[in-house]
Amino acid sequence: MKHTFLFTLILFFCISVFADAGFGKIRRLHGASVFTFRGGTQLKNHILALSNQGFFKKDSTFAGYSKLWQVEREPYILTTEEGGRRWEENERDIYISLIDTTTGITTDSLKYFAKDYNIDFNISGIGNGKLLFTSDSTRVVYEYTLLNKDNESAYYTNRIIFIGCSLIGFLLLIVLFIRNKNKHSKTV
Amino acid sequence: MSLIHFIIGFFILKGILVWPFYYSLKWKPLVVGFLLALAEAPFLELLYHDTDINFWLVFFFIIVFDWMVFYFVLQKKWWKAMIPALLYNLFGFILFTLVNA
Repeated sequence: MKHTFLFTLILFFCISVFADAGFGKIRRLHGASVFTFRGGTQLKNHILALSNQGFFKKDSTFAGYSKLWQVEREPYILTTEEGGRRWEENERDIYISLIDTTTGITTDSLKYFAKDYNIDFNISGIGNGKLLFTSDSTRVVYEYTLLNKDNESAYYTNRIIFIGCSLIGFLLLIVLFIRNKNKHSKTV
Repeated sequence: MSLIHFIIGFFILKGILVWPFYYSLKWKPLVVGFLLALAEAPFLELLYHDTDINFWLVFFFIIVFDWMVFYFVLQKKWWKAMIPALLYNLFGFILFTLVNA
């Protein structure tokens, strides 16, 4: 009995090596934030400039600004992930400036911290040099699956190992409980 | 990462750290801790990822289950079983939510 018990225990402990618990896919605790800008055509004689002193430092294309875009692409999507690399905490401060193209003067600026939230900007126009917009934020959801359902055989094996380990653990606990009860009833 | 890391983590919490409470029983607390880890770790993972069950409820039932196991299988002292069941499950739950956040 004792040997069978130990054998089963060791066997299932070893088998658990083969089951993917899914931690490898969630190395990062936070998903990437996505900023979406819509209504770029409303910016007459103005451009929106993005300045992120941390991440875009090397990519200097405009005096005083690290990264600049003219909102011609619709919508413009900015994500805190580039080339598979997530931005660090100190790189997530995003400065958005509204620049008058005729004078080159910054007339309005906004600051956002790109973490945990996706923000949708709907630009409606410009009034007195200020950017008129509405924004909508949604929380970042990091989608992942514990068991990859695309690979059917791996999914089946993983699931069997998960259920098997759990079942054997519960069963052996019940066996321990019954043995303990019998021992006590004999002594009493 | 495979399931084994999770089971080892649970074994440390429910086997090795519980052992000082029941050191007079020699190997038994370690075996019980190991079985608890083997039973609960995959079950918890499946519940957390594949269902929409309220996890506070699961947490509560795991505390009660551990309490019962320590009480009925190890030593019939309810207060002695309650301390590790509450304390280590709290540690475990914090670690679990941190890793799976």
